[in-house]
Amino acid sequence: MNLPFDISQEELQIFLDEADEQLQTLEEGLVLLEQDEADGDLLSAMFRAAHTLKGSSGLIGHRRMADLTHALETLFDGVRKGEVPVNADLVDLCLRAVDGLRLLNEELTGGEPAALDVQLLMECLLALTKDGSPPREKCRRRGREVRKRSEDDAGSNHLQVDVEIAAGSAGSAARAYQVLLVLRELGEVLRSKPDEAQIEKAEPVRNLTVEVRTDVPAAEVLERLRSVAELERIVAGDQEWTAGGDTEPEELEATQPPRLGEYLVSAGYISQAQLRTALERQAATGEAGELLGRILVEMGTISQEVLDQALAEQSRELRTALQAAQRTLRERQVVRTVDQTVRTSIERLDTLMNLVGELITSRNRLNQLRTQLAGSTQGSGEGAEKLLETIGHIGRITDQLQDEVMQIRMQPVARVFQKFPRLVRDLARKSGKLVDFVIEGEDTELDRSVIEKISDPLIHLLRNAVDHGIEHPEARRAAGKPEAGRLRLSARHEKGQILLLVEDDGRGIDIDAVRDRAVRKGFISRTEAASLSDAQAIELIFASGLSTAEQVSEVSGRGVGMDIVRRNIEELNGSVSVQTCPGRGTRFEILLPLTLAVVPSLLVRVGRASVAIPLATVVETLRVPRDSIEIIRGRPVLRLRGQLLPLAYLWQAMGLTGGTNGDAHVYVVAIQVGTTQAALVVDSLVGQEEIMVKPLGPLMRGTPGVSGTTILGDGSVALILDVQSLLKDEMRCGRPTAVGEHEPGGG
Amino acid sequence: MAKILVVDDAQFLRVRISRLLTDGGHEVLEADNGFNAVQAYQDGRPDAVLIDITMPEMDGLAALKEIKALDSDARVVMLTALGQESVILEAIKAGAKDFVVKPFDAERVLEAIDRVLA
Repeated sequence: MNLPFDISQEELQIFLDEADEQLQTLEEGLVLLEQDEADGDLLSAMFRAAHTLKGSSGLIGHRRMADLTHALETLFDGVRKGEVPVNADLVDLCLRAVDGLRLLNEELTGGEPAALDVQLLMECLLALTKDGSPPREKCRRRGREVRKRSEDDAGSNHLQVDVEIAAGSAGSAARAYQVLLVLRELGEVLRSKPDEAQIEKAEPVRNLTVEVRTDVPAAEVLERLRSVAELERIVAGDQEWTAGGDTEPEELEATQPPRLGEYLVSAGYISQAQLRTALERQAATGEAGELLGRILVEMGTISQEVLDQALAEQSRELRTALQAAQRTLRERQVVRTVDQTVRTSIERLDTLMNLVGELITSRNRLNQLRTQLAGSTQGSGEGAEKLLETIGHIGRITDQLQDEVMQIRMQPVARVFQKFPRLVRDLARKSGKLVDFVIEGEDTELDRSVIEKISDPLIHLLRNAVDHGIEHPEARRAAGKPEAGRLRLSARHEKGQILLLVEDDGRGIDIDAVRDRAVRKGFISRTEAASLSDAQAIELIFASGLSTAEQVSEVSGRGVGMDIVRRNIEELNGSVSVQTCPGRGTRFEILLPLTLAVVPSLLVRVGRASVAIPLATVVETLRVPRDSIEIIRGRPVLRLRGQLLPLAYLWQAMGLTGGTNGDAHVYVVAIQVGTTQAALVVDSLVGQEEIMVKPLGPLMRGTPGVSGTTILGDGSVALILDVQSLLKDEMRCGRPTAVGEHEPGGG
Repeated sequence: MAKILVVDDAQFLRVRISRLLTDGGHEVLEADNGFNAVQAYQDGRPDAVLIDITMPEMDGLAALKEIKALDSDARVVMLTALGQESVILEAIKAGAKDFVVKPFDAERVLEAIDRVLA
């Protein structure tokens, strides 16, 4: 089913984008408002956001959305003027209204009417606006509950509606009848004056008074009545509207044509005094319908000819003014579309990125050829030199092009971060804690493909921090800390990567509890647990199925979180690590690549295969004597500066053939993910290269230790090492024993 | 934007109103009496109807009732002359959404159309 909104496909996207922005402004503003950090500018911005949203939703005929934003706008106006006090209930209610607006916004794409009781929300907002008192009990209920509309409902009340019909109406009885029809739709018409029978005599009706029982707020009744033409004035309860009095001033004021009297004065036909006399006489006749022009002619102030001419000129002006207004509106729309930006689809950007990737591959190939050529006898001579120069030039341009395309795909992390203040606020309120939430570095940019995927892990970490990390105010006071816990989320660039930090100053993670839990769940033995250093033990929180909270809370859910956090981040070629200090807090560090498409890598050879190891995971490369590899408990380890690293032969780990060259020395790549380290034996080191990741085809999917492939400069295919899965395997079988038993307290 | 059926026996009025609506971005269907109007409504399913009350063959009021019988949600605006109060009232009771009294100006017609389309 499609809801009948007056909006085209192209407009829809613009509408949705803008609505999103406005809702975001509202939400952020509300959270700040509650923290008492709202100034006049912020309130104005919130008011404007509601106002704009009301305007555009009204324009496309989204009544419910327009109504609800209208109620919000009115409330903000009250707050702005200092008439309505701000408290948590107000913020709660407004946030619910914003949630409601999101649902209504979805109607545009979902096509189904949202199950939302707009009526109820509006009533509650209105109650707040009017007397600033906390909303009634029913306002505390979820706004989504659909309220039954029955006569004994407490919300039903008597409303008196007064309507004045334009004197010149040729069908005033019909207008009166239309008013009755509208009111019948909204509730029960109890009595009216004139009553229906009198109206049906089709005699002119000037004033109509109706008493109606309805649970629709007066403001909405009034709004609905405005759909009837030729009404001069509507009063519904405490709401009033007068024709001409409600034109949006900023829209039309400038183009409002002069009235006849003003026009005659300004054109020099009559004097201001003559106009006053005529107007007085018009008022004295008691008949507003008596035309000013006719009075002036009767008074002999002007001739009929002049009047006709003035009327013609006036109507011309009217038309011109109207056209000007329409032009302004059109121009405004044009200005909106001819922005400094263009919209393009994500697919197109991805294609562009792929093409650039191909170009990088060719550039690498050219570079190789250049090196070969420069080293050979053919490399001399003028032609060859020009060729070499051009190759270098193409290389530089390709680099720039890659940077530019990367830039296009970059988006500030604010896109994800901006929804967190609301999340944290709600979590804190629900768990009865005080949280001082700080966001830093939200301008830091990340590839959009990465941004999309960090939201969930971050939400989980923030939830954990509020739920498990930060203590209740009393506990904090007892511990000598400020009552409000501090939660900090920050982002910054570090070594060509993005570092995200989630830090709290809560109670920290009880490492012994983690050990106990791991033993009880059978992950490790008691001896193993005892031999783990604190840094290693804390890593256990990332194991699947381990949760240290004694009770499953509403906030953090069940213990299925941290392993998924780690997995999500590692899928992004990133890493997550945790540090904790009992009583002082916990800090999660997430390191992410700037993009997923191009990965700086270390190329190595294993047998006949080329393998790319993402540089982000490489600690160092070494050439060590073969006999320095020790075997401990049947597993090879490498002693590196007093530290034992589990060691793997890459050809074995990846199921490749060959690999033994029989030299007395071997090449080793030390890698690290989080705090887990390992050493990989390879045949030779080739060098660093930026590689373009190609996802694995269906045949290759599931190959152990391989996350993708890439095409190298010489056209050959290289496998991209899946360091995370490799280390996971290492950790599971080897590490605790290898490091723990032989190097107590090490690691 | 919207498809609108204009019904009037006077060709001039049809042409004037049609041009007005086309300029406003609407698509226009035309009929010259009530009978043809009902036929055109059935065939073209317009979003709104502007219909004169006084017409030969079948008048606007009768056509309105027929159209409402075809489609109870039909959005019909009556075009009337002065002094037809009781007919207008009957039209409203029969489900007309609005009415415009002749002689009318362009804005009144466009406004009425916008109102019923909203």
